[in-house]
Amino acid sequence: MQLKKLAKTAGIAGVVALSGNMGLAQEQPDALEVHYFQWKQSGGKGLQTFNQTEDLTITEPVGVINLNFGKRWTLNLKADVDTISAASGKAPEIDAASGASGNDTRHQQDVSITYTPTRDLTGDRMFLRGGLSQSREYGYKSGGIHLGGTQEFLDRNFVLDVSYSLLNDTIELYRITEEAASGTMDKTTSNLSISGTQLLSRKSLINATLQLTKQEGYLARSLNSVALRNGLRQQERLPDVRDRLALRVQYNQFFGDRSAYHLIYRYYQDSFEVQAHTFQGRIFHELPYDLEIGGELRYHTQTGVKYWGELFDGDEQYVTSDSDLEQLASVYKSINLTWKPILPMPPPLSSFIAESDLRISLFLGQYDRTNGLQGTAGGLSIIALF
Amino acid sequence: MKKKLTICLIIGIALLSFIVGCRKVTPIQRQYHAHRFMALSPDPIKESFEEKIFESREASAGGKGTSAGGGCGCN
Repeated sequence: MQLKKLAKTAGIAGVVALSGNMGLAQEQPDALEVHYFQWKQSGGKGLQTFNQTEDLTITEPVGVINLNFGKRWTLNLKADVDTISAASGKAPEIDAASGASGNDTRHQQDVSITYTPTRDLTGDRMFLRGGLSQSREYGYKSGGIHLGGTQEFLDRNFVLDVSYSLLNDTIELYRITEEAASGTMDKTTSNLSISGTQLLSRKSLINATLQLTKQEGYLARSLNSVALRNGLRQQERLPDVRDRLALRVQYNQFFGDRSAYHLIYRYYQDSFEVQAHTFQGRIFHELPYDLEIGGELRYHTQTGVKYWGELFDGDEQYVTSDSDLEQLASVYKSINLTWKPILPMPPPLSSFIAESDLRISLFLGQYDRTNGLQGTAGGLSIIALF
Repeated sequence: MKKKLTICLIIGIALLSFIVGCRKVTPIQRQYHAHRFMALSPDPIKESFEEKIFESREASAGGKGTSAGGGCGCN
């Protein structure tokens, strides 16, 4: 029994190291999760005039169910809703400043299944996963598939993960002028990700992830427009192909018996000539009374897309004034508090489950961007493991 | 773009090659790696929400194995 437990820890070590990739469901216990997030932003630059700001509030409830069937199958279901204020009932100019289309609500669901060909806890294991996702909002709908596999190499203390996803989006065009096109346009996004995690010592590991993305189709945002020197406005135009590359390196270190920190760097570039560097640091600490505290600091800097400008002649092939795509830097800092009691289950649940491993978390974050946008993020998460 | 991609691939492979075969960690020594703090994303749903904010408000995306762009009305 002791050997099995140790072997399981050894196996879980490799898997837990990669469990951060969203959508993975391997080696996770049965779980029910409820989250409530909010994002509130102000300032920035609107897209109809530069005197307008990008004030909006987003609330996002999320539900997750993770169920294990037998010894080899895991089902993960995720559903969330973005509810965006300042959308309907106000001028379309406000909608153009948000990250969504012209309506309040986006519904998104994801279903993933993981299959483990072998359950031998003393040897290298492979995990195969696949899933479907879909997202809908007024004027926009998306559907996609994602596939992936994870292979442990326990003798080498190494875990390799490869994943691929394909998303197809359909966008309803918003006509800025009478001459602008109407109808719908499509956009396809395909991602290939290769990730390796290496245990360096008893208390440290390093992960490197290379992600290649290709987007084709209508890549502009239908609600965006640019100002012309003749006083008129014109719809945003961007190329119909965008190639992206991101290389992310993460180092995790456990220190003492109750604390850990993460150091993360990501390099990004794309065919719009955006180059970005992102630095993140996280720290975690266990407190008495089943409490945990943590914090994060993130610094991001990027060059602007080469088509960005404030005023145009009107004969340029590609134009954008989107403040998200210009040269900018941002800082994000957050703090979180977690309480993780182990509660005895009341009858009749106690007939099936002895106790629930419960985790209740609160977080608060502040985001500041150099071109004037500020935002506050916060959330409550309740996670029950069975 | 191709040259930079080649350089990134070389750096990524070199990094992985360098770290593979580091000091061996036996199964009995891996208890810290099983701790939630040592996961790449200890709070994946919360981080997914934060990443969506960053990807919507900045021009860059990706690096965590999730979709970089698409699936929403953002960049």
